[in-house]
Amino acid sequence: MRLKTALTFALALVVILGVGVGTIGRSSGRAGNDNRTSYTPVLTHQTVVAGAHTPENVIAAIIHRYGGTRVAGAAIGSAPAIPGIRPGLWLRFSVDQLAGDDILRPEWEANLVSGAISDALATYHLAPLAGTRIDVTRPDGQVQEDASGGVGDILSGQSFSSESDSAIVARLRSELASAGLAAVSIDLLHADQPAPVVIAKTDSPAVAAADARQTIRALFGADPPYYEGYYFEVMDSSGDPVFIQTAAFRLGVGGQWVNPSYAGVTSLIQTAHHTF
Amino acid sequence: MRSTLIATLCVSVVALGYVGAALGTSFSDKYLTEPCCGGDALNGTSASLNASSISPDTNNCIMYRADAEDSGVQLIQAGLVRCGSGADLDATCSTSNNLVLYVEIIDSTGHATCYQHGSASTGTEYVPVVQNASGTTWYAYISGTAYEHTSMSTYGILEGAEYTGSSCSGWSGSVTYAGDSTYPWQRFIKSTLSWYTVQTSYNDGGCWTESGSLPGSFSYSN
Repeated sequence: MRLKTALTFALALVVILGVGVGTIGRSSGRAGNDNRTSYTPVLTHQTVVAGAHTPENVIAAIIHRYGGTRVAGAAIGSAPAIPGIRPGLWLRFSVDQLAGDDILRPEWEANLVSGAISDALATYHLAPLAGTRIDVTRPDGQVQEDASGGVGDILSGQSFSSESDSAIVARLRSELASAGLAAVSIDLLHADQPAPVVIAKTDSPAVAAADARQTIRALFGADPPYYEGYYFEVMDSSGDPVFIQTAAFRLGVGGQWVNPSYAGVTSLIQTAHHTF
Repeated sequence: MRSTLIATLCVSVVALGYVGAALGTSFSDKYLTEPCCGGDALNGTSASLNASSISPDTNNCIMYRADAEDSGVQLIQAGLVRCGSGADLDATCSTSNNLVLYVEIIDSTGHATCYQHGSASTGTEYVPVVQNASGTTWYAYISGTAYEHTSMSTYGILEGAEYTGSSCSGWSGSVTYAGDSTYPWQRFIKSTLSWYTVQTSYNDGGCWTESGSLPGSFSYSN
């Protein structure tokens, strides 16, 4: 009798307090899947690779041709064992963070490569890219497994600038000069279409931080963006980074870091951590 | 038996009407922090949300989201974001004044990454969830689809609205949480794999006017 009373009381509490058991990742409503870019895309491009139209060859071919130095490899892996995972291919990247690299650099190269892989898989009607995991080898040799990774919901077939590398470099140098920044290096990667890696320097870091958004839009566009991705880092005269912004538009993934010294002046949008 | 059950099931958190803001950002949230509810861990937050309007000024963004944060700088959040025509969130989310679904993760060194998950619309019910079902891995879900994850210790969970600027005028928005009674605001405890409907919470006022009350629906508008 006492047990029955206790169970009745427990059931009442469950009803009153709304306790749900074993529910992970609630389902309701709908996820958006139309018009899947944050800008008006130009959809006139197909990402292709030489050789066999298999996931393994697509991955190998794009890593081989992209021209960066941080992606050591990628292998088809298994999806996490949780509910709600999108169907498709999961890739596990191994990337190298070189001495002097911010962590965003190797992660961006993996994202850039992932975006081209995603589009090539679509070109050949292969299983879509559903997720990535990025393992980072630090400069001291330590490996941070699953440091980041993710895949946005993005339309495949976007067309970006296919200007010559020399024309792109010339234009970027001109825009940097207009923004009062000195080019340290401008490189171009080619996971598919060109993606600039721009490192610049300034004697006026607070001004550069304040102008960051305007400078980035002049360099890389916004609606639509000029390039399929970019890595942009501005350093002060001592070589310390002022801010970094990255984008991989074929993947729908972007990154940002702002030196805390300039958090109060930058024009870049920063999500704030709650002051509890 | 009865007292054990009462101790196990979290009932109350004192509402203190706390108002907080950081870096020129205006939060209007309901939130809980650890230790919560008689010692319960906070391993997830879930509530339906329906945006009636979301109109940021040119240079800022508005987010309606479910959010989990540590006591330092880390967070994982999922929901809806719309930025003004001159702004974007982390380069790829809402770059042309459009309303999109998103997941944002900030790591322990302040690096932010935004994952854009397709267009969203006002007047539609979404269920963003962030959940730590095992270990220290937090996953973000939107309406049942699993997206990105990160490793993080937990301090607080939040449901509410965020405006990234400092002025309370020149922009507007309106959102209702838990309007779908199937998805009230709930918190998750991984040790029992159970969701509990939140009865009371801390509150941030910010620039937004709040209406409604727990455990029912609540709204923010400006």
